[in-house]
Parts: sequence; C-alpha cells; structure tokens
Amino acid sequence: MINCTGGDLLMLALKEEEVDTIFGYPGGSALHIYDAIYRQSEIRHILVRHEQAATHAADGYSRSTGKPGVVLVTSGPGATNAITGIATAYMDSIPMIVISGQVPSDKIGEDAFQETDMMGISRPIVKHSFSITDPNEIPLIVKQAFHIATTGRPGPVVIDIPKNMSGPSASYTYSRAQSLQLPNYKLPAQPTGQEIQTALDMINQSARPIIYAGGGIVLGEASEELREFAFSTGFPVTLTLMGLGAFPADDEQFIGMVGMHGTVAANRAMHHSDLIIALGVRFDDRVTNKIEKFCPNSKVLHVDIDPTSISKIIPAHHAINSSVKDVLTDLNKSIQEFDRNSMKSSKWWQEINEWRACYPTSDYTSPKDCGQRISPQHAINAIYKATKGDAFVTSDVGQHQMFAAQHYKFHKPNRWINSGGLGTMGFGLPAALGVKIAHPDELVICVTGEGSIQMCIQELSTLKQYNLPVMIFCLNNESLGMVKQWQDLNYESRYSEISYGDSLPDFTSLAKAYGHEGICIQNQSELEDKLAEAMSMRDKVVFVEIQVTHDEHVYPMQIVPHGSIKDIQINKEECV
Amino acid sequence: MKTILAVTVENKPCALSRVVGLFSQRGYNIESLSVNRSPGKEYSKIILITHGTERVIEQVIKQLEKLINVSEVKNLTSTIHEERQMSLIKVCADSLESFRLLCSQIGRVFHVLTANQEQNTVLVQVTATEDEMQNIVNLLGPASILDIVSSGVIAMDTP
Ligand SMILES: Cc1ncc(C[n+]2csc(CCOP(=O)(O)OP(=O)(O)O)c2C)c(N)n1
Ligand SMILES: [Mg+2]
Repeated sequence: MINCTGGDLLMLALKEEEVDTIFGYPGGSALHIYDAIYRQSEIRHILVRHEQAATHAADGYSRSTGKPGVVLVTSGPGATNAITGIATAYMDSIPMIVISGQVPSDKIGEDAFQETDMMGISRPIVKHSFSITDPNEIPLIVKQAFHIATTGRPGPVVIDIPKNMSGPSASYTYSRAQSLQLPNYKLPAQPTGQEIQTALDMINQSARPIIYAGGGIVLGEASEELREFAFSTGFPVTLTLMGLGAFPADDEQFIGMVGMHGTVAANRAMHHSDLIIALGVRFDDRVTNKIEKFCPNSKVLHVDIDPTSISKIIPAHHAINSSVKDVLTDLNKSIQEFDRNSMKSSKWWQEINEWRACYPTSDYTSPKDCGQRISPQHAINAIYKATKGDAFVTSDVGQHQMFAAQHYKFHKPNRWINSGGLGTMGFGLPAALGVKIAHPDELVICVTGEGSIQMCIQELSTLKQYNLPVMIFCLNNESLGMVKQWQDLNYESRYSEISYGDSLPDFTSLAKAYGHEGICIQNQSELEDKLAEAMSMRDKVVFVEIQVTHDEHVYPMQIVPHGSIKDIQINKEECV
Repeated sequence: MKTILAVTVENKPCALSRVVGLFSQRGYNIESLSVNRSPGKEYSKIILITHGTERVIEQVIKQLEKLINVSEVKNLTSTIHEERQMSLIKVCADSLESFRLLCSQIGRVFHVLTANQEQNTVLVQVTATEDEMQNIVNLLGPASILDIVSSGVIAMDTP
C-alpha cells in the first residue's frame, strides 16, 4: 500500500497480527492514529470511559481468548491512566499491546503539553517497550511487539508513538515486516530426554506426590495435557488462584485451591507431600506462607517457561525450563504404565480424603444461621447454580473474589478472570466488557463488591453503547470487607476507614440511569427467584445487588505471617 | 559475595535504564558501573559490580538475560580475569620531592598530569584494582587528598 501515514502503517501492521478490536480513548497526541482508525473498517474500536478500563478490557479479552488485547491511549494522562492496567497484566503475565501517543519527537523533554515519559514510567511493568523514531519502523516494531508479548512468559508491551511519527506530513509505503530481527530474545528450549527421565525417576520414587499447577497451564494451553497426566498418575491436584479451571473442579482428584484461602486438604497435602510437581507456578507468597516453614519434606520438581521463576523463592531439586505443554506431553508419553490404581488406594490418598471429609467446602455454602440475611458464600453457590457453572466469571478484589474462587466451580480454563498478582480493585467490570467483546454469545458475569465496582463503574456506559449484556453480581456487605477482616484479625476490630456511612448509591437506580436493568436481593427467601429473573434477561445488562451479611470472614485462611502453609484458621474460633 | 558481571547490551533507547532499573526494582545493588559502546557501536558493554548471596546472583543473572536488549551476561568473578579502575587525584604535598618519595614508597606508577609548583599541588592519574586503589588512598592519607574522582571498574576475562 502506498501513500500511507504513520497511523495507516500502524493499522495495517495491526491487521497483519489479526487484531479485530482496539480498546482506547483519544486525545491530542493520538489524533493522527484516530484518523487512521476512522479511515479503515476492519478493526473495531471500543471507546471506553477511562483508560484504566481500556487496559482491563483488553486484559479480559486476552485472558478469555489467549490472543493479545490491544489498547490505544493518548500521551500524558491517557498513558498514566493506563498504568494500573498494564501493571495488572504484567503481574499475571497477560499478553497485551499498549500503544500510547507521545508528544512530537522534537518536543520530548520540554515538558510539552501532555508529555509524560511513558517509556520510563512503564519500564518496570512491561515485558518490553518500544519508542518509534521513524514511521518506516512501525510494521517491524508491531511484529516484534506481538511476538514478544505472546511468546515465552507472556506480558504487556508498550509502543510509544510520537505524534509526528503517525501524521500525514510525509507518506510511506507499507511493506510487511519479513523477519523478526530479535537476535537477543531468548525462548526456552524443548525439554531434553535426560530432563524428562530425571522427572520420571522422581515421580516413580514418590509415595506422597502432589501436582501444584497454576496460571502457566492456562497461559500455556496445557489443560488437556495436565488432565491426562493427572489421570495417568492418579496424583492429587491442587491449583493456584490463577490456575482455577485448568483442571476440572468436579474431578475427584482435585483437592481444592492452594494458598491463603485454599482448602485445608490442599494445603496439608502440600505440606506433607514428598514430591511437589510444580507446573507453571511461581511459589507466590500467597501460596507458600512462611518460606522457612515451607513443605519441609518435599522435593520440588519445577517446570516453568520463565527461568527466573525457577528457584526464585523455593529451590528446585529438579527444574525444567520449558513450556509446560511440551514437558507434560513428553511426560505423558512415558508414564503410560504407571500404576494409578495403587496410587488411588494408597495411604496418601486415604489421608487426603480424611482431610477433605473433615473440612468440606460445603460447610461454608449452606444457608447459615443468619436469619433472612444472605451469606456471601451461599450467594456465590446460588450464582454458580443459576449460571449452570458455565459462565465466564470476572471478579474484582476482596472477599467476594475469594468466595468466588472457592465456591464457583470452574471446569474449563480461561473462564476465571481475576487480578491475582496485583489485586486490582476496579478490574472486574471492564474485564467483563472485554470478555463479552470476544465471546458475544457466551454468558459473562462479573462478581464484584460495592467497593470495587465503584472504581470503574463508569463502564456501565460503555456496556450500553456497544450493547454488551454482561451480568453483574455485586455482593454488598456495606464495607471494604477484606480490609475489615484484616482489621478484625490483626487490629482488634479497630475499623479504620472501611465504610461509607450511608453514602452508598442505590445501585438499582444507578443501573437504570445508565439504561440497564437493576435487581436488588435482600432476603434469603428471594435469592433463587430473583437470580432466575436476572438470568431470564440474557439480552440486557443486569446489575444484581445482593445484600449479604456484614461480618463474614473468608475461611479457611492461613495464619500469617508466621504460619506454615498448613497452619489454618477455619472459622472465627478454630485453627487447625 | 562480590560479583563482577559483564553485560553486553544492544544500543537501543532505554536499554541502559532497563539494566540499571532492574537492580533498583528488584532490590539488588550496584556498587560500581562502567558503560561504553563497543567498537561496532551496535552494542554497549556494561561492567558492573554487585553483592549478594549465590541465589541472589543467580537471579540477577537470569533477570538480566531475560531483558530483550541483553545479548550476553558473563560472570567474570567465576573466571580468571583482570580488573582495573582509574582515579584522578588532586594531592597537596609538603613539597613535590616529598610527594615523589611518597609515590615511590607506595610503589605504584602515578602519572603526574599537572603540577602547581607554588601551591605544591599535583593532579595525578593512577590505575589499579579496586582493592589496591583503596590502599593507595589510605597511604596518601585523607589529609593530603584535595579531590578524587574514580571510574567504575572495568574487567575482562583473560585469554
Ligand atoms: C485499587 C486497590 N486499592 C486498594 C486495595 C486494597 N483492598 C483489597 S480488598 C479491599 C476491599 C474491597 O472491598 P469490596 O470491593 O467491597 O469487596 P469485599 O471485600 O467487601 O467483598 C481493598 C480496599 C486494592 N486491592 N486495590
Ligand atoms: Mg464490600
């Protein structure tokens, strides 16, 4: 194509990467690019209401599809507003391309209007970043950016484009970038036969193994392989918060989530294991609890695509720095003769099953002795049933997030979409928007709290504009519940700044003001009917406020900061 | 453990700040830093000294290698290598003769760059290892050093 502006080159390069949607917000430095958007028709632009939402929406799009989400923002405040979403994606290794406008190159450094050093500000929270110095580089840099964002351990990549690089002052000819020209970008190798053999030896020698799998399985599209590996070995499986759905929650080998709010059985099994098969995980502090007390008798077999994740926190006895999919494929070939039945009838499984029976998840989900009030755990269980367990579920951050993780059973990967690493309140609603864009025919729900929802509530307007019927379940406990829980546990219930007085909006009216449906559920007795009513309006955005009990704590909960992984409080009175 | 790393990095915008930023971001420290472009100009060589346990150093190296602009990270401490640092020192001596005497006692080659006869001050250049440099400074005595500026350490593995 000839007679292109830099902006046109950008659009053509994005098409080359099969981009169908950009989430963005215009402004001065990005106007040439916006003009190029106007002059084409293949890529759809979604105008959000705040740049943070653009990044979260792109993030939701990415997590639910595996394809990188694309964001376009202007310089200065547009770029800084995007930062929280970039950091969120970075912490959870989500592939994302963020294109930021920049002041013209001859103005850089002069504190020009809406100038901010995007390369500098974003540096610690991106996998890589590029600054355009010649429009002719755009096709190559876009290609490189997508390659970097999506391969190895994925992550966000920023492309900063000074205004004069995208404008019409000169015309360019588009030619597709041929080779990548990234001589120093290293990707991990295939696992070697020796590496696989050593892993097999460890597996064969273990009497108390556990599979500890995480977000790497989801990102590495290795759920099938994980399932086969678990089936062939008969080993118990636990998942991290980021891994939920990577293994079906209703499989009897699944012993629940691990970590701070994981099940007693999963955390105990980790502690008492003699072999931890760590697949696509990073031994986050929300899993391990006190490092010095971590699993004293366990050998660690660690498989991860990122060399820096290996032995960063817990030294690995054997590490394979390759993609989990490749490693599991190789292991699965060799593990056929494994005696899964004797594993299933082993003393190890007996023990685990006793822990499971002793501390069942259902203890938390049945309607409680709280009169007509609804307990949040029960609410999640009811949502699970009302949505037939088959929704894409985005979540915000707080108690409701943990309740959703514990009680919504995920059977497929890419369905549980939450900010695990950064814990970003405000993530849920825009992420649901992005998921719905990618999956218009699927049921997309957002589980949120009355605190979190108010951090990006303006996106109700975007949902209206693009007719994106997502269902919002807001668990209203009239406080920043998770903070309150910590103040109960560590500050003798001195509730510092966790409530809003009586200033909470009437969410039903608010939803209606945005042109949506609103439902408020106050009593236990109406829960099921009203959820069914909400579900009957699949073609609308329905904001369902569920008024839940005010003093709930999330349990089980590891005892922090000095406990081991297995030191757990199971209710307000008991530790086990 | 003191560790000298030689990092080869592409001459790209932000490349140096990515390397240096990594250290502050992850709580590692840089004790000495020296950067210069390689002859081809496409790459720069960074020599840096850091401290840390074996595990930390292993992480530092892996993190550096992960940077997209970094082509090679060599741990020189674990190989036989030469290291040098250069200092420019402005010294005040009782007389230039006594300074020469002191120099010969220290036993190092001092290149006298300029000498001011009236004020009995000299500007000298000296090249040494980091440890030797510390020693030289001690022998000259803080009282006689008017000003000192030192380069970062540079190092190379021996052929
Ligand atoms: C942007 C941001 N600010 C602050 C926090 C700290 N924080 C974690 S959970 C929480 C409370 C969330 O309240 P709400 O959304 O009502 O959820 P609840 O815990 O009540 O279910 C806060 C303030 C955070 N995670 N993110
Ligand atoms: Mg709340």
